[in-house]
Amino acid sequence: MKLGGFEELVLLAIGSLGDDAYGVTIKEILKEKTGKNPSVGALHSALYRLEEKEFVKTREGGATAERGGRRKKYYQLTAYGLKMLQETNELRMSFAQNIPGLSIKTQE
Amino acid sequence: MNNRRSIPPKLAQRLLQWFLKDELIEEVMGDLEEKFELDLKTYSLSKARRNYWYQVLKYIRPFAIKTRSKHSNLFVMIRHSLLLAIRGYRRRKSSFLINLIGLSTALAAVLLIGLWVSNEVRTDKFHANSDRLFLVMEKQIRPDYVGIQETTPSPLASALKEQIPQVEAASAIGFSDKGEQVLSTNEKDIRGTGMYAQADFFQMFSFDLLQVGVSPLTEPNSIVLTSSMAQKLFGRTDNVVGEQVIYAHDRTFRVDGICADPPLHSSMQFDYVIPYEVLMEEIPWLSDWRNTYGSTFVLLTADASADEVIPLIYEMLNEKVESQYERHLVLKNYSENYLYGGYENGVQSGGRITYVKLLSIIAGFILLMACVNFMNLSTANATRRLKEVGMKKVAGARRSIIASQYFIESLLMSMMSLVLALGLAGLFWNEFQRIIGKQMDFFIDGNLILVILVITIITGLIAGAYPALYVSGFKPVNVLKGKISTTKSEVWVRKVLVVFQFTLSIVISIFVGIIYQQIQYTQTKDLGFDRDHIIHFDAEGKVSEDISLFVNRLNSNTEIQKASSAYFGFIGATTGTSAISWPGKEPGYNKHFEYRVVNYDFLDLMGIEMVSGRDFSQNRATDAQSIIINETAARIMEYENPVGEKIEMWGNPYPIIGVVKDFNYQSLYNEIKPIIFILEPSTTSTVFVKLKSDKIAEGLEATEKVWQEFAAGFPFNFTFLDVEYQKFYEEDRRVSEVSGLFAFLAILISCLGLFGLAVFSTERRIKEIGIRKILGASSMAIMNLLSAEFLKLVLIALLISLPLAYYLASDWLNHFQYHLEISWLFIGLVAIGSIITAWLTISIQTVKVSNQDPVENLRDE
Repeated sequence: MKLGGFEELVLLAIGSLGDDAYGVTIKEILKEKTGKNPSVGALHSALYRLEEKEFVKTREGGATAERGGRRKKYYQLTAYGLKMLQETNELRMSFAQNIPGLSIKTQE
Repeated sequence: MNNRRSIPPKLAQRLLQWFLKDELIEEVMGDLEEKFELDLKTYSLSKARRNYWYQVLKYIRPFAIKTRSKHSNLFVMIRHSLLLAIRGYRRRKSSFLINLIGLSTALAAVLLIGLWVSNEVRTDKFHANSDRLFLVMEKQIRPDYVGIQETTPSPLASALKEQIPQVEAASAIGFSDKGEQVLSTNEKDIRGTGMYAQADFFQMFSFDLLQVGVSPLTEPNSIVLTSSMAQKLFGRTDNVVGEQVIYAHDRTFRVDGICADPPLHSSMQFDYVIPYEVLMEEIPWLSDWRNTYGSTFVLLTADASADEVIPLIYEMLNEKVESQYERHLVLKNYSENYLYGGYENGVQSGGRITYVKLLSIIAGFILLMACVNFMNLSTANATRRLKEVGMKKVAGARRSIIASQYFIESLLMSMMSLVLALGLAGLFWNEFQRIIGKQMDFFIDGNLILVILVITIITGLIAGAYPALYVSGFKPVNVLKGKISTTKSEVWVRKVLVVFQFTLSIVISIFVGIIYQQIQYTQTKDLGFDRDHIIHFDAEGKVSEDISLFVNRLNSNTEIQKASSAYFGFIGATTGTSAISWPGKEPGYNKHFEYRVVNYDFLDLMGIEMVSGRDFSQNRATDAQSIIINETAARIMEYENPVGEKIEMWGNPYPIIGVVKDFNYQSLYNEIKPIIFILEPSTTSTVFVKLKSDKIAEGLEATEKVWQEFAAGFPFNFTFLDVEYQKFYEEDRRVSEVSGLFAFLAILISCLGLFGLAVFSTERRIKEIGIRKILGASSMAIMNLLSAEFLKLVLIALLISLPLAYYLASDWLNHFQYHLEISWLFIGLVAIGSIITAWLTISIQTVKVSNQDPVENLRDE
């Protein structure tokens, strides 16, 4: 199962948001971290694919007034999704280690 | 945020809902709305709204779009409706067939008339220069009326071209008074209609020249053949240019061009074109400005308008000719002349457009009648399907869904009818052309298809509208409880519609009957002359050199009864003069007299009775300077005893030697005119032969044999007088046949409608009938009960239609000088006929119902 570039970013965002990952927050954090502003459509399209690939699972959440009374759909990493993130991360690391002059900050 | 306008754009939301998969709606709309609220905090409202739109539009991605497969609501609904419709058709075969037959015949009629109208409207419109192409007409202002005629002096065309700068091209166009002339090659003699035109002809009209020789029609011996004429003469159409053909066994022409056959929608039809100058040589009086013969056509320059040219040419004729009345010239656009060629007292009114409108209206009425049936029956059916509607509503169907179901059903019906109608139209196309009396191309273009489709769809919508909007409004609870009762107004509307249909059918039937009777009357009326077994033909070859010799040869033949000759044909021809005076004529009294130049024995041959005096006699040389008149002429001249009196004609004195009884030599539309017979054998040009009634074939053979001696190479071509006489009534025959056809359709459709109503009504009263039967009513009594309701409607229709038809028919009959009286017997027969037809129609249903076992009908509630 492959993971596209944008999908990876979305997956990372979901992971980092924890319990509060739904459309708007994901979009906000992506905008904050990457400086790019994906359209809702593009984001949902990625979410939809991630769900198809079973990297994320969803649950319905509480409705709020600013959503016009509509329920949120929360996203959460699955174990498989987490594993996928790990694998990609390791792959990157293995490349990065061999790049001279590229300093890798390990987790603090 | 309390601002009520700070909500996401509605339209964008609706768009989203329309294309978005159902399972995504909640999340997406929620996210978008939250995003929108978020935006509002940082940006202006309009920017937030713009952004919302942006987001929605960016959402149109494959993954999000609804798959409109067979599972989509719309598809399921349509499929469901179609299924129900087809099941309904199967269950209610009779109303299905009534609708199908009614609608498809009506649509077929519309289609045929549509084709005809399209042919009529396109006629003469194909000329590339049609907006600049004008017919020059002569306007004659006489003291008592203003006449407009298409024939003009022959030298006019050349004069217009020379004198008026706005005239780019001009041509006189005419046809020979001798009818079809013979063209010959070495091997073949072929008759064809020749058109006589001038050099500009092919520049003005778009009759495509396929091959061109030197310069067609400029030289006096130049001829242009149509390709089919070339094919007939030479057996080929290539390399014909430069060949020689002989015209009327007299003059040799050089083929100077081949043109395409005139299309069917051209009012000019010809087999060859030769210079107009040939005609002017044949008929010497053509070059005189006082006489009119052919028509004049002009092509104006691109920047000229008819309005500016008319004043320039208006006075031209009065300057050229001295006349007893004013003669002016006006222009008429040639492409319009075909449809708008009628004139009344100098003002354009009517023409063929009248027929176009009339038939279009008739087609509309027929379609309307079929729609009425459709509407009546669907409403009737709909009330039988109330439970279905109730169930659907209970299950959550909205009103619009129920309505659309009915619309889909009626559209399906009209589409099926259209398919059938196309087949019917194709089947009857040839027959229709025969009745209309016009060759037409089966020309279906995009416009016609569009019109027919739109008509079909509108028909479907109209027919479906009433049940769709009416039934869908019922309350489900009432429907399921069976509480719906048909309102009085609804029944009333239905009855009015049936009365309307019947009134229309009866009016049409009576009218058609009267036309038919009048035509019979004209065919059998004693005209005052004999038209049976008489043939006539134009003199050609050596026959025209010495027509008396030819006539005498025929008279010596025992196989035929008698032969004579006259100038022009006898029937309908009008040669007349007003240059007549007699003692006692008031000065200024200007009466038009018909005159006929005849040979010896002509009056005898035609069976025209002498009232006093005697016929022309070979034994009296002075008869060459004497005349015979009819009773009307004698009355006008106010002679008690005209024989022996002298009148003056063209300045010469002529003694009257006899008076003949009045006879109708024209159509019975006209009154009898004063007529003068002049004896002048050498000017006669048409031979008349009376055959023996028991030796027709032998007589014809004998005549042809003598003809061949005199005019070898000229195919023998004759006309029976009675056939020619019938041509006067050609138009009436057509009107009667066409309206007969539509009368049949109207009767058929209204009977279908009545039947449908009977079915509906009897079914509603099925319980009542059951109870009546149980209480002892006989089948007969029940039949009478049921029939009475409908016969009442027919009686009302009769009351309305009989006076209306009587009025219309007598109005039409008044166009004839001699017409029959409308007989009350006929009217009575139509009335009885329509009652019987209606009764028979209803009885198909009433017999069935009144014989049903009442137990069956009362068993369940």
